[in-house]
Amino acid sequence: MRLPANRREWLELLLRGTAVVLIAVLGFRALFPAQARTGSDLIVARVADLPSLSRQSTPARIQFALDGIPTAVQRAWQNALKSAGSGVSWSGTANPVAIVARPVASPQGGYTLTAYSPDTTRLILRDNISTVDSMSMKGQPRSVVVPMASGNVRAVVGTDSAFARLSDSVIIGKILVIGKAGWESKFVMTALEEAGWKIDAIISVAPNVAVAQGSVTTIDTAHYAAVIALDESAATRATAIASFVKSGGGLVLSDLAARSGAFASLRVSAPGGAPHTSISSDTITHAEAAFSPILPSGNSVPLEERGGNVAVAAKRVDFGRVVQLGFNDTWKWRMQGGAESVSEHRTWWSNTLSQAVRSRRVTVDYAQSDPSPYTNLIDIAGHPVAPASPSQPLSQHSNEMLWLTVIGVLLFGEWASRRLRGAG
Amino acid sequence: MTIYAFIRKTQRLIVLTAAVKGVALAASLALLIFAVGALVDLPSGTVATIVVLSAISSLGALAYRAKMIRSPVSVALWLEETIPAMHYELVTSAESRIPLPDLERSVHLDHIQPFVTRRIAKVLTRSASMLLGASLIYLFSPATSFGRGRVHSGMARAFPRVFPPINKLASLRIRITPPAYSGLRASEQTNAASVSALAGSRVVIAGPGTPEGVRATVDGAPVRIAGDDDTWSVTLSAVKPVSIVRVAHNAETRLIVVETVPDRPPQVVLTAPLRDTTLRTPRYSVLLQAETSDDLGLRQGYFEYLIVSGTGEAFSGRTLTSPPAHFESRTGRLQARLDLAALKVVPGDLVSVRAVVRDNNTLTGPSIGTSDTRSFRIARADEYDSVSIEAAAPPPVDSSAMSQRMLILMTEALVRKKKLLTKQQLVKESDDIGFMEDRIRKRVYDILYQTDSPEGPGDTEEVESEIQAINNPDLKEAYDALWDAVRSLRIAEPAVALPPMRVALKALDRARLAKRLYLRGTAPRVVVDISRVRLTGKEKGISSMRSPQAVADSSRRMLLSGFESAITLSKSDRRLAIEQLSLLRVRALASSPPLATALRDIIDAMEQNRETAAALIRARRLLATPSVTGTPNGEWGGG
Amino acid sequence: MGWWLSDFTFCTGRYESGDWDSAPTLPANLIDSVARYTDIAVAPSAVIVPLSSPRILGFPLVYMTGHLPFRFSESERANARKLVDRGGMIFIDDHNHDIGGVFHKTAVEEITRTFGKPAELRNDHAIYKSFFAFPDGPPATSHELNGWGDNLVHKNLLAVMDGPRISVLYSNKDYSSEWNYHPDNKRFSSVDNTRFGVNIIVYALTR
Repeated sequence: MRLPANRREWLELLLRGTAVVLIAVLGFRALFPAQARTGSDLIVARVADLPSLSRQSTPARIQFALDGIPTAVQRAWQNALKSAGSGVSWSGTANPVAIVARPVASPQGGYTLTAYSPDTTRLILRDNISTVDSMSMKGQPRSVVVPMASGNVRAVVGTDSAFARLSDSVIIGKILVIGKAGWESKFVMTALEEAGWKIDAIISVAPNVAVAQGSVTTIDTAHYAAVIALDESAATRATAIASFVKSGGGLVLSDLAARSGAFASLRVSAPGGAPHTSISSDTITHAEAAFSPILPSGNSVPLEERGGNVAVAAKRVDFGRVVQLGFNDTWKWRMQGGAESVSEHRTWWSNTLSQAVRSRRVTVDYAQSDPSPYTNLIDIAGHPVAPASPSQPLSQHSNEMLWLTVIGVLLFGEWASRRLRGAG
Repeated sequence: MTIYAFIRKTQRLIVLTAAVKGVALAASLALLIFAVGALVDLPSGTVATIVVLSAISSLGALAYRAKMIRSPVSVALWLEETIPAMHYELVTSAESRIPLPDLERSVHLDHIQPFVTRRIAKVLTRSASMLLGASLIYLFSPATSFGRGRVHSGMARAFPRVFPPINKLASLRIRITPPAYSGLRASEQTNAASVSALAGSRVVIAGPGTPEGVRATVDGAPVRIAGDDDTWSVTLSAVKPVSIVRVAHNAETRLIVVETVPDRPPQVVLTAPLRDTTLRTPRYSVLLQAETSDDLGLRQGYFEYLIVSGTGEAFSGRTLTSPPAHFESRTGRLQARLDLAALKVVPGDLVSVRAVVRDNNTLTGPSIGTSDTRSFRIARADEYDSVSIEAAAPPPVDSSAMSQRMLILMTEALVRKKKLLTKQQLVKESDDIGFMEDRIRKRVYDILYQTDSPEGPGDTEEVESEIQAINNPDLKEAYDALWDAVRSLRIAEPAVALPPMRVALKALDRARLAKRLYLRGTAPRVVVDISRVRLTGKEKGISSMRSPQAVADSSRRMLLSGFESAITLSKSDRRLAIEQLSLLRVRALASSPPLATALRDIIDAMEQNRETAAALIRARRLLATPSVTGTPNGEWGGG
Repeated sequence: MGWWLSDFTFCTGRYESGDWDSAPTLPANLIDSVARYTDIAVAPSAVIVPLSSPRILGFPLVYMTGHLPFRFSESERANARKLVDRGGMIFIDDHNHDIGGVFHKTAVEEITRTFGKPAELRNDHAIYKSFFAFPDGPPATSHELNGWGDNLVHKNLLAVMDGPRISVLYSNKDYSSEWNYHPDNKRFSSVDNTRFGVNIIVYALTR
């Protein structure tokens, strides 16, 4: 063997030798994979290793070291490995987060977004346009009604997120308002019409004299989605209303109407005694709102509370819903409230009515949703386990390209050096 | 001069000439590259890179070519190569560097000198010509405003396939000239999607190139395009609250929203007097003062006096004004003295005073601002004769109350005839007066403490007056004096009762004047017996139909859906999204000015390629605020 | 009063600039008429509330009248706007019933400044059939027919509209004189001249 004549030849020899050694190492690794080398059947991998894992013969056990919830595709891939016979587990940290989006049964549209994350943390709701809202999670699900959202709505906690695709809105019929002429009936009708509800009305002014809107013939679910009874003048139609509710219609009973014996079978509970005046900070508009507390019964569901008393409650009656109000003079919120009192009064009535109204919902396409990725991960890979071998991640297998590049560079350098000095 | 010295001199000249030629060449190349770059619309960064590379290359090439002048021998060789008559005399001299007498004699330098001069002059002339030519090309190229329109139009006309037409909407200048009366300067903006202009301003939108092919509409109506070879322009006046200008050229369109800012009317605050006054006599002089301001400039102002005379159902009014004061700034003060005697007012008249100010707006105005009104009422003499605590318009059902003045007269008469009366007669007459005096006392008490309101203070009357009444020392004094008088009258001591009765009368007069009560106090409170009259009417009403009311916030809903689609569009076509947002902003200007501002922020951010997230969040919150946040009720899914 | 459901309470608005209390018995008369013809829950007595007080917003129908200049202060103007914007209605009657008179001139100016320019109300508007039918529009008053004021019978009322709804109703027919008597005296009339007042109240309560 001819010894090198100068330093340049030494360098060329070094480059050539290094390349040969690397080729040998790669060959060895290909012939004797890591599983065999460690003598264990557990592969510690990352989600980025999924392609290389799929190229191998089915590993017995794979533990994914995660620093967040894998995407829906990655989880599906993990599930495929599991279905192919590999035991899939995971270690690391991931933020449990879930979201549900339900269209609000109101002509104003919008969605009720309910999000959950178990930790005391900040959850951000985003849609395709921008951030929608943020909320502090305290171990309980929280809801927000958003009048507008675009595309998917995403609940984000740290780097993890769940998303729900927004479905189309709901289809709602007309509303029938029955009451006597007065400020309450006037402003309830006004608020609902401003909110986009289509209403018929029978407003009694004198015996056999009424101000009517629409042609009220039969109170049934074919004509109406809900009836609002504002006072005892609705009692004359109580039988028809009861039949309407039992067949699926909605009913909103004001405090005064609920006191009528004609609605005894429909009301949520007998209205309470003396009126309470809620604390101004507890009202929707900072206007005084006297109300009579509703005494909850066995099958009632409280929907709104004021100062520790139930102000609005609901119950189901056969196929229908009844929402009972503790209020009679909600018009005062609108007239005597703060700067936004008109829209707040409108929104309150619209939201309250939407709790009772009979609606037809458009089928939700869940295919493009990922409402609860953490649950899905648990379903596939179980609860997190302690990291098995964090120093031996499988991702070394995926670096062949890098090593081949290094070998190429070494050999090119050696060849270039020889050519430049005129050697063959 | 020796041959060697000549060669050295020639070498220096050649070096200098080469340098000049190099600079000229580099500059010419740069100008040509700029011209061509503008013609084919290359990005300025690319053009600059090409210029730098070309300059380096050309200078390098020249330097390489100038290697023959690196030494005197090379210069000598160059001279001998170009002058065939030479036989290496110059080269030999250059190599030896010292004068060789034979050679010095044989070479005639004055024959060579003209040749060198000609060559150098030739090179310099060529360089200058090259630089001049390049400069002319540059001047007439689209790179300069002089040549932009001409070259593009000419080339585009001559070679429509080779030279695409100039983008006439690429750089829109919007010049706003406010009306002369405003004193504001003209302003100019470039490529703005929306501009604000004072009402009456002249707005000129101009772009590069000829007017040919440019179309424009203002609020949908086509408008004429003016211009010349260099510039086209559209002119409109800011009259409507919002004008939408759409400019189109070929397939491209641009939308500009011109928002008209109205000249606001002057603000006027009457600073003196601060309160209304009721006067005993029509002789009163008071200083009137008002502070005023305007957004652009005030012109004149004056006080207006509306004098109303009459009673019952017959009232007449006449209007007078104070001499006008003239202003020359945006703020001012009005001052005048009101002399009621000069206005010839009589008892019973009411003088309403307010300040009226006009601004400088000679175009759509003048805009007029008025202050609150102050009233000066001159009481009638008979009001003092009937110092009744009843309202000024006494109710027909309650006319038995005697005036305090009448009771004093009656008491004085009783005192005078006291000696003629028996004890029983005196007691009875004194008690009768005492009874009537006590009724007045009760009325004063009612006003003082609002006890005639069944629902308590604050339900029927103004809270402020109540407080004033309670705090009214005159009424309180009257009340106390009336108590004293009543007690004296009830025990048949009319002479003792008279002083407090007079004190009460004076106190009541003062109270009436001080608080402008008109002594009308509480209106008679008629309580209807609802249950007695309920449905007793002989006539019957009819049923009627109610019409549905409009959906509120319908404009907001349109804005909401438009906003959503514009933001979605912004991901694929930014310019179109900006236009949509500009149109939304026009709608929002009337219904929701804060939203219009937020939309403007989004548009500005998009135009300047800035981050839009914060503005987007602000706009969507103005459009639709998340309404309810709380713990969901798992038991109730709603309708 | 019902079971803490507020009754309709007739409200006279007090403004600073003029004689707001020039028709003191009109409210009781209209309350009587509402009770006489309808079963609307109505408070037995009226209230007087300063227009400058926020309490005015508790009375969505406000009646105002007078003979003297009718000009709002800033706080009165703000409250009046708020009341109308929130769905209330203001009824202003010129007690002078003469065009060009002080009240008419200043009231129309103030209405225009505060609410917008009033327009003539068509005589087939819903207010003329909201309870009693007035096919010819607003009923004429005896003051008009007897040649008081401008010696004219005003054919139309003026109104500022909020969509199809009347938000400000202005009359220079002098209903304030026509209806300003004690309700007990109704028994002397063959036809109750306050019937249009009932229409105004029913309209305000149902539209």
